[in-house]
Amino acid sequence: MWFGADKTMKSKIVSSREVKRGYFRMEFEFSGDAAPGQFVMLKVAEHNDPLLRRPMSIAGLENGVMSVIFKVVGRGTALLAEKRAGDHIDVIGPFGTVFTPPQTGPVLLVGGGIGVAPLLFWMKRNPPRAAAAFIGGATENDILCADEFSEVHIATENGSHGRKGLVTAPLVEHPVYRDKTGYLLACGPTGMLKAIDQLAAKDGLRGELSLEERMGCGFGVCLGCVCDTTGGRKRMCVEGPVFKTGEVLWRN
Amino acid sequence: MAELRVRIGALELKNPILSASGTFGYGLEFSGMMDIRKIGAFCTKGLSLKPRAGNQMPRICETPGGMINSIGLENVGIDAFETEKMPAIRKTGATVIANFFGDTEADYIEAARRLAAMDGVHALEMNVSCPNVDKGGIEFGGDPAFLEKLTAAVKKAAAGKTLIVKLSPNVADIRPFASAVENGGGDAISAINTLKGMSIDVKTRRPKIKRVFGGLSGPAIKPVALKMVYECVKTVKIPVIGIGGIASLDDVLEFLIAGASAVQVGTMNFVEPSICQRLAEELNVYCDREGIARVSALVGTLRTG
Repeated sequence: MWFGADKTMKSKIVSSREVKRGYFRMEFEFSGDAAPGQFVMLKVAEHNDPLLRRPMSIAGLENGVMSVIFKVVGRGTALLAEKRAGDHIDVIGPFGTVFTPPQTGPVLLVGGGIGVAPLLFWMKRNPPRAAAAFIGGATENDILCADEFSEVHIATENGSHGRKGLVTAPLVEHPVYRDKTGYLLACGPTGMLKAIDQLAAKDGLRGELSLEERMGCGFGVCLGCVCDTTGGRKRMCVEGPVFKTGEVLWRN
Repeated sequence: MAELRVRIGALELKNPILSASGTFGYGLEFSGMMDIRKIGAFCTKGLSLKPRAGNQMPRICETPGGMINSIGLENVGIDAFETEKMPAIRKTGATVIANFFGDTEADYIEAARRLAAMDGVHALEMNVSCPNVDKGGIEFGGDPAFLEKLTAAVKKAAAGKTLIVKLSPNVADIRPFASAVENGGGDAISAINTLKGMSIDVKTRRPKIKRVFGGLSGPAIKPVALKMVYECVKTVKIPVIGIGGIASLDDVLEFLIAGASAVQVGTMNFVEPSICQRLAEELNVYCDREGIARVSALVGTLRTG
């Protein structure tokens, strides 16, 4: 847990830019450490409306600058998008579990929409390990940060970029997937993660899934973000957001 | 340094800023984010004899100036609380108010007996007002005569420990319930629990909470809470602990002026984990600056007429 040097939680924003229509990448000063898979909670308003912080996967942390990627989906994220370099933002964290793939072997990264964020962070910390990245989205506009991965396969539901269809299609064709040596790290919408989890079980691969969920607090007290797992009911913010494949009992 | 100590029954608190049940976990989650010894007390997540898994997701949604929750009293159970949580809680030096509930009168009595006997538990807070479960809520908190009887039985089981009874705002008139607690021998009243509320996703036409409605909390409910606390204060002589939307020093002062002897901060713990500590510090600065020697001198100083 990190508070700023002045005991407040205000971080200075270094940059904020719209990387795709409605998608923003924000960088702010952060003096603590964090590990790929973890998230921070950002306050969106100066006062208490909107009230709750927004959880954001950490997309990078280098030289005291943290980056996050978010999509404008409502009033809270719209307020975040208005912030500019030089403004301050109230940040607490990092929270949650981290990606822990085996020490050796190729890793396959699978991201949907803003789900690329923790994968980017992991790749930057482990550059030679990422065999390939698979990035999916509804349209070309939803494909984020693809040029930051060396080998990247893209799929869009409407075919406007890369292959038409779901991101799992190029994934299962990849040699490192087919020879079962690849370890999966995935983050994205629940439907995508559930599909990957089921594929991994069927095809005999292992990996980790970072779940997305609305959160009230981010540190395990509101109990607003639970999920059922083989190990019982877990808080996604403390025992997650990263779970092993085969661990989550999907709701439907 | 002003005198911030307040007394609730047999319990002396170092200051009147408490954290509310359901918003502070088992206290341990705030380690590193605030100093739990600097607040008056913390109220544990509501405890039951057996562990409870709580409700299905989605359990929370944001509303203007607040949020709705329907957690369903998820908790580890009193056995695990005693063996897994309490040893670590004792080490923090926190003042602990154990919040509890039951499905039956016998459950309430047994839970109170267990918690009152537990090393490190300083007082009890009885929840008769959860809006998010089928049982354990309205049948106990919804009938003043029964509430009086339950309070008397639980007070006996609490073996001298201070018993606070947390009231529901989801009644036409809170005053008979406040009287019931006093007549039953309760040491204090805490009010209010969450207000029943509902929110709909217009795109999917589905409720934003799985169980359709839940409990509304946060700054949005403060005026309602303040009015109900004022009504309780006017009705009973035992101390009233004000709860509902507290987010600033002015909010604390409003409740104290209305007659609350202490306050609990709830939902804002999610947003600002150190808020209780900050408000305790700000209250001290305020009293010094205003020349108020004892914070209790502020209590019930509302000027009307």
